[in-house]
Amino acid sequence: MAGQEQPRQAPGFDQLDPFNLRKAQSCIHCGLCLEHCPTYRETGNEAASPRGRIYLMRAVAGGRMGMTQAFVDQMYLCLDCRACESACPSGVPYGQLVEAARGQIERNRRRPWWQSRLRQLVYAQLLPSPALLALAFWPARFYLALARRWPVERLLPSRLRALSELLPREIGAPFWPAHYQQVPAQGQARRRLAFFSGCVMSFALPDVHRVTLQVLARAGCAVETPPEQTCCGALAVHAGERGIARALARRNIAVFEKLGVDQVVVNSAGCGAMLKEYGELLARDHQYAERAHRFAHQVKDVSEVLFELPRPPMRPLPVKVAYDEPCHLQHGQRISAQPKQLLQEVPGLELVKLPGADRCCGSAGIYNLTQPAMSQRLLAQKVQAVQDSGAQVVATGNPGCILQIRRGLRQAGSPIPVVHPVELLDQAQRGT
Amino acid sequence: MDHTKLISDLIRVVGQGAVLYRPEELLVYEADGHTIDKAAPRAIVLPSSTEQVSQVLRYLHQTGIPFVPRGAGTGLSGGSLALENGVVVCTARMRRILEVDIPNLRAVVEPGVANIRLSQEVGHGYAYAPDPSSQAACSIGGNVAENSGGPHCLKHGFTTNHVLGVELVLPEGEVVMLGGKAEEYPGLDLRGFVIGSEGTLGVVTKVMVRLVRVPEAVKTLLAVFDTVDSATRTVSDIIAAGVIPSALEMMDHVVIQAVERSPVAAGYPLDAAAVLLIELDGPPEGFDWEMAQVREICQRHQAREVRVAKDDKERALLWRGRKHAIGAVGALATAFYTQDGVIPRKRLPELLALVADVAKRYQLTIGNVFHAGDGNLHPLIVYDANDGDAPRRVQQAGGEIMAACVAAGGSLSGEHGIGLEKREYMPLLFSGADLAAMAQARAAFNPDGRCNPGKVFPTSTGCGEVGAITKPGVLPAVA
Amino acid sequence: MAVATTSQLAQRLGAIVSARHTLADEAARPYAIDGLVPQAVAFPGSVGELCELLRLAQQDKLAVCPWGGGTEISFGNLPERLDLVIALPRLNQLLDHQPEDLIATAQAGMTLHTFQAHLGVHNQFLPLDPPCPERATLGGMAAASSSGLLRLRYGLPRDLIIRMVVAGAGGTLSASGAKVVKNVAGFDMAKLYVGSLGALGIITEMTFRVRPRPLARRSALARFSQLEAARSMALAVIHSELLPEALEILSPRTLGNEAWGVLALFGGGPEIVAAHAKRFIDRAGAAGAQAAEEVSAGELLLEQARRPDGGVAAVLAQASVPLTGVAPVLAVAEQLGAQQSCTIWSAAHFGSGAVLVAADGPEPALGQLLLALRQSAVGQGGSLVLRRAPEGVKRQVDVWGEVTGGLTVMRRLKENFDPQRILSPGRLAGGL
Repeated sequence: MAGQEQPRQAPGFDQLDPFNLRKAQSCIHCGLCLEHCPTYRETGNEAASPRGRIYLMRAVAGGRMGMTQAFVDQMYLCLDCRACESACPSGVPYGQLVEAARGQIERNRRRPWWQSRLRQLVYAQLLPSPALLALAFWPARFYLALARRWPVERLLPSRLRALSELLPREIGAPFWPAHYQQVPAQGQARRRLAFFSGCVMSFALPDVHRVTLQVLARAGCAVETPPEQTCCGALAVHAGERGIARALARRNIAVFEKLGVDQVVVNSAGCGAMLKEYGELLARDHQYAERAHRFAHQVKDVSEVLFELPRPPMRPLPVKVAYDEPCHLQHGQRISAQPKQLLQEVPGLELVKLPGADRCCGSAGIYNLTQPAMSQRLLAQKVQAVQDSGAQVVATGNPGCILQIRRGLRQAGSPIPVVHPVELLDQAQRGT
Repeated sequence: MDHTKLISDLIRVVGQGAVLYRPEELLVYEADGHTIDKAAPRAIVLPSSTEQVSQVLRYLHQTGIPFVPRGAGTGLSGGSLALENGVVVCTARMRRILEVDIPNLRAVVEPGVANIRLSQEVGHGYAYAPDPSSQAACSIGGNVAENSGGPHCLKHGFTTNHVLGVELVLPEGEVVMLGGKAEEYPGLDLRGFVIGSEGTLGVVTKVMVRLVRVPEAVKTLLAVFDTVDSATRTVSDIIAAGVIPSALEMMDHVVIQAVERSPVAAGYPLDAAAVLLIELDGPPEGFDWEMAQVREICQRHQAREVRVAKDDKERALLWRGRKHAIGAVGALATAFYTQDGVIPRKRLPELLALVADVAKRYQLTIGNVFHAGDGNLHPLIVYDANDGDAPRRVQQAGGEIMAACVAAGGSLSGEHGIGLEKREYMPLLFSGADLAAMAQARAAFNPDGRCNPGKVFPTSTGCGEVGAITKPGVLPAVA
Repeated sequence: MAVATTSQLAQRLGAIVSARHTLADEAARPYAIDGLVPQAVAFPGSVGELCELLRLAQQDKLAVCPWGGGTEISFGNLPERLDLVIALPRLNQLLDHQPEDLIATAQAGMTLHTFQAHLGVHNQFLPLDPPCPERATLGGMAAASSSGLLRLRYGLPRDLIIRMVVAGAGGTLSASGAKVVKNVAGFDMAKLYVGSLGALGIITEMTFRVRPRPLARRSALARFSQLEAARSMALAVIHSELLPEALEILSPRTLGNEAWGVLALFGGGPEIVAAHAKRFIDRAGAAGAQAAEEVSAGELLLEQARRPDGGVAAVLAQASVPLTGVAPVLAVAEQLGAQQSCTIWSAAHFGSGAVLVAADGPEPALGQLLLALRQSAVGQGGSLVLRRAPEGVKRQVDVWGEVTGGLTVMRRLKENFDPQRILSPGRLAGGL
């Protein structure tokens, strides 16, 4: 989707949403990010590395060059996995920079009318609306039923086929927040939380949501799921549609503020990272800046919440698990120990070493659809590592990663299932 | 030569996608870890094999085009900048570990392998010893070019002590194997000469390294001081006492502050004037005596506290601060410049006093984080990139510090290399005859000087004369 | 040649170094190299005089060989020509010792023994231990790259020289390195001169990295009936936590015994040394040693490891191989000795992959033996050089063997540094 359109001719970034040059200048060009960047490792091209991309952003900001096609290509070849942030000694907020650069690109280039319309439709209307999503998933179910019987997948054009391959083979009934507005704690209520259910996950992985609520309830959490909530805006931000994302953020903040809970729990790493960055996203919105900051501080990944609470009894679950670190959990939120610790405490469960567990699987939002070639290369490495690890199950806490790795394993003919860590906790707690 | 033809010829050798030539891509390669000087190449080639490197160099030889080898581009002396509008031959795609031979304590790697990856993949209680602070990213090939050190080279040696063989493609395209898995081979030790030659003799395409056993035990101490002077005196006394720590690192107040305010906070006391990170390794039976010596010396110099890391986690934390200190200090301002002079260890107190004085006179912030046990200073000068006059002041200040190091009986560089950055200072350390001998030796490998031109040797001839170093970056035409 | 007669040459040399420090005719006979007697020998008393001698040599195209203690003068190809020997024993000053900085500088003609005595005053030492330290000079040791057992822990001359001054073919002095332990400024010229046998210039001065003397030293010897058992013991020690300063395998004849010996030298703090010696003995017991004990007369055994034949054999060959090649080369040496009816004394600096094989016997048989032994070393990925051999053997067997890499560059180096081929012509590998 990072199209082949002509860039706008005038060099430099616009001032509508000023690019933070000071933050870009905190990069000292030391190069410690290089080995952590999947696209640099794959290409060896420094323009496809964090410090290279920052160098290009600085060149544009400084008027040395315009937003040329090569610039656009590099900004979109980035997975926004933010592995570089964990490696950066200077604390450069790379994710923010690349997202801001994409915002600049999108504001300042002409896309064919149908593309602009499509982006508007997807990011501003489809994703935020459960009803539309449900509508969209309806043909998907039909298609899947078809695909289970006949090899129709092969007939699809390549982008659609990629999308199709990402779909789980079985989709449960959608998760409608309205049905789960109040889930009481089991036993003593220790915490009152709100659950962020997001957009696609309620349709693509609805059972993970249901299981999450149960696991939280067993841990003593009373959980509310407000039906008025909407998409977190992460996909829009990745695509440079910051305006759309801000509108979504404002709505979410308003919805969750009203509940007056201590924490907002989220089981999707990608959404969690976005929600935690609402403060940055709305920093220049006088009405919302402070509220956004407050909200962002309330957001917790489900593993963070569970980690702090006493564990319910568990039965042995003798299974070898490879834990794959979602980028937006590990790098975006600096959460790595908690989910692993929670899994390790399950009796009988063995965490096997997964080399490259800290590396992106190539999912990265909708990267697998926009940059299929690079995504495939990264996925192939991940699948190989999983198969070499001796694991019987892969656990990872982000819907995009679950779908991506499932697809990769399926293509490789591997029966290894990919689940959310809470699903394993749930199994152990239920003893099945 | 016609640019389009050059690009298409190179593509014919290495394939589409392995030649970078778009102006934006050239721009990215105009600097390495040293950002004061800039020069963009006319193209970047990313070969995947020795054969491709050889073909590329043969082609460049036939067409008379200069070139420069480049690894990860983390070097701090501008050594991988393409002067004279040359071609960058980058080893970033040559990243295979070809062989790990544990019985013989050897490994064979391609030059693009990141230093840290080698030890990680070898594992099983074995490691590759040299550990430059940029080890998370820097390439083994780059380490060979610079003869890289690192905190632990104080006891365990430099790249030259751990690389036993290199496969080198000479500037004319011939592939030669120098050294090998054994320690010695007949003939001149060209291997040893190539290590540290800053990429001026050819392109290294394979590296055979020594593996060592990971020390049986390690103790890491943090000693906290209220004056820089007492910290530096502690350093020279430890060495003089015959204790050889595996690492002996110092950080001063500016650095401590920067580290503690960064994402890599290590728990250094914020109000300390200096801390020493002292590491001992070896058989646990030896620690009592060494620890007693170190403690006694620290106390003699009024250390406020001597903290021993109680587990691997605390140890890693203390080191994390040190290994990322340059980045943390760099983040204090929009630009930074680091120096690398070496002095006899007993001269540390006076040299650090001089650095402080220089900082005051040039109105610059200078932090010191360095390999004190080796006497290898790293004054980090931070400045505002947007201040037009700053680079000049920074270089003058740097020049003064370098001259002082040489005057104290030391050297211009302990591990970063001369590169482009320090070339004009070479006459401070070497006579015309010294440099002539070096140039004669270089000519045996690189007769027409096309391999990494403009590096190491001064362009001015007068002794002690320091010419203007900064060359304006060649700005590629960008549409 | 400008100088018509030997006496004229002696006169001109006398003008530089005084007649007292010049030898000619019969008096020069002891300074023959491989049977080739020089016209004259000069003993410069200063670096200035040395340079002047070299200028004279260049003018008159005199072939020059440097001479230190003469202990390794047999190392090298038969000289192409030999007119003048420049002997350096008068350049024997200690120039600088910085005990607190662990570095010391001396002129090339100082004997190793004297240098050690100076360092010993401060309880320090240079960790190089080639044979005959009373006669071997620092310069000779560097030029011939001589080493001993301690190289396992401390390295070779190339690893310990941090600064070097050399007088080149025209009598020009040039320096490289610096008097600091860590330095990368300029090219590491010393690497070219170490082991060059004076073919590129004459070393006049060196600065070494020195070490504190170990607080304690102990040696232990384990005897095995079979080489295989000795090998596996030695390999296990190298891969263990034990840190010997030296680890040797001695052949039965070298040991003066029926058994193969594994000799370890431990140096360091008294507790470490005692503990490691004990662990070595325990390991040897477990490895099936006939006997394993600490040896009080360790120095004698160490000397045998440095000079297995005590200096009596006609030939001394040194193989340099990867660790796993050591035992095969030792075995082949024994086998060949029996086949060729030669007497073999062998010893290996095991951890360094250096195998010393001394042999006595009729010259043709020695020649056969050495060629086969070289084949074995090369087959193990290494090489074999003759450190000492009579002319007859040298005519049969190349001293160096094949130079596998970089001969073109070596030739160009020789041309650039010594275009007239007056410095040790022909002696170096490849006939340089």
